Amino acid sequence: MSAATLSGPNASRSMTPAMRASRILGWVSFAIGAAELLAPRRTARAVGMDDKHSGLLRAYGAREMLAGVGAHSVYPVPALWSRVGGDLLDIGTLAIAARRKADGSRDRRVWIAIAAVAGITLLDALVASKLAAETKEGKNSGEAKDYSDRSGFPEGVAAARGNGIVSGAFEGKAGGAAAGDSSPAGEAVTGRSMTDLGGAAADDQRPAGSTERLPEPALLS
Amino acid sequence: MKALVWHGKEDIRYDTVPDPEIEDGRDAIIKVTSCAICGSDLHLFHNFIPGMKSGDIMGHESMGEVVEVGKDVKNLKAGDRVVIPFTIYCGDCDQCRRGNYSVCQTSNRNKKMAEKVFGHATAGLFGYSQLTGGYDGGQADYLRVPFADTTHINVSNSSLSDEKLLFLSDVFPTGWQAAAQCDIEPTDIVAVWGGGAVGQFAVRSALMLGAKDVILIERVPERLAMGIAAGAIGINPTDESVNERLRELTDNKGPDKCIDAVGMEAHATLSFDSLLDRAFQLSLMATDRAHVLREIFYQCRPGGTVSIPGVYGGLIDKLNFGMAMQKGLTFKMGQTHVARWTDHLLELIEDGKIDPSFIVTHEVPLEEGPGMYRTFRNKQDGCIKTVLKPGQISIQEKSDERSDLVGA
Repeated sequence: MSAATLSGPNASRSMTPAMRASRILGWVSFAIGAAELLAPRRTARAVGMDDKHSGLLRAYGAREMLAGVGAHSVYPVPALWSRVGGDLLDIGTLAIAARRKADGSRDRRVWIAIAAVAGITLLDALVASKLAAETKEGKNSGEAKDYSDRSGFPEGVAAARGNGIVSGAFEGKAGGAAAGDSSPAGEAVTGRSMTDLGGAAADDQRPAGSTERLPEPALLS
Repeated sequence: MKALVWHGKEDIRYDTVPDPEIEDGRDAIIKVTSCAICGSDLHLFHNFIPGMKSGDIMGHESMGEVVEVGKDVKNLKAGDRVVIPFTIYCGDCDQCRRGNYSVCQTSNRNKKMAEKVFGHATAGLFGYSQLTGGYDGGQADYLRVPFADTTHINVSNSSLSDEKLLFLSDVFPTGWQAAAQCDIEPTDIVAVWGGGAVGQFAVRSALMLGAKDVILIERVPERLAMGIAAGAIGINPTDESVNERLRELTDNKGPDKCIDAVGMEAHATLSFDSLLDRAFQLSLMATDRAHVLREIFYQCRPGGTVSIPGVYGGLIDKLNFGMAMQKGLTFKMGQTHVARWTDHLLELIEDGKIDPSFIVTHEVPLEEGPGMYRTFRNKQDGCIKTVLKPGQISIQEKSDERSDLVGA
């Protein structure tokens, strides 16, 4: 048996900083998604866009909500990369809005929004790649473990075949298949064989490991 | 004392918590010498089992030394060495008298909550949600054992190491029960899905109970190799078709007995049903991913038996129960009636017929437990079974001490 190779300063907490960051990004997704879904026009105005595209904003909101669920899942890496894709889409949409605004009513808010989304994109990519590396860590590094000598049978596999069946008296605790057995639990019950407790038929006289078929049971009439 | 405490999804921490105290005459307190992380702990880690509360102490595979007993415990004394079954049982109720210890009618102190969810309450379990009593688990320095006069396996007379005895608490009897309830005949081909600890013990138990052949279906190479080491025929679904290989190995008849040692968190493959399971799970329309169960329904020989030691938590979608009915399959499942099997299994260990320590891949101080949850979940570093040692100094602490000495 080996000592843990992944122990270290983070070993006493199961969540790594990247896992915690993923959760926070998930909440950010939920917040933005809720704003886009519930108040698309106000959201558009807040980032300096025209408020004529509420359908598009709602679709983006739904995408954010899905990304939020994914970021909170057990394997958040795909959701985080999907967030990166979504961020790029957002930047593209904001850039179009910025160009349109450029000819007349210039709005600095759209450029601030682009800068903010660009920052979040970097953060998403950083957390996604860190988490992906953490998941792969140990899987691809070091020697592959070889457990081909771990049979668990000190006397060998051949000797182990059928050696769990007890043909004689078995002193087990009360129970087994015998419904209605009133023996007090914890008290030794003698005379019950393992076969009564779910092994082969109790009257089976075949040697352990025999391949001989059991006689066909009599048909019920 | 120190313990591994659940704070939320994927958030387990090594915390300081109050020491346990005797609360009832049938209690005992044990100083934990060894405990282990179980595959079913990962369901709690992922928050798939309902009823976890922030502050719950994890762990249901523990052993140690008795340090204090309640006034009604006459068969244990301080200093006794005990393994603690994960199912808490009174020994007096109708179910206990039938040997159905995992559905003890007395030991679940949150009975009303469990009855609302399951119709009837099941037994209390250590460290396994409020639904099973909300008892503190054994991944800690100390453990309070309720109904301790019955809920223990006394190994004071054994000179064997903790690593050989610890797994009597859960995974060995669980694998054994999975095989035993298949009613194995000498001509039977038994197929086991999942090569985690329970799957490994199910393979060995099926072999010891006289199966003609045992097949292990597992995608992690080192787990498959461990099963093959015990005489199993291996199938890796990543490399070959499970359907074609099983047909070939069973002369087109299908395995007589099928064991699902995977449970609710079947590995996500690109199969249509797995993708659907993921979507349903994410949208809270189902709780369990039942790919393995569907495969078993399809593969099992008509008239065969399906034994399910793998834990399921709730709702399953798209399960073809008509197929199971038409094929006349028999189902056996449930949490393990640990005490039903442990006398015999202890005897097998003592006689040297099986050495359960083969399963231990990692042994670390308790403090490093939270990190090992992550390692185990990610199937990193060949991790199959981690034994945690309370009181043992961690590598980090050791290096800190060394630096202090050098600094001085």
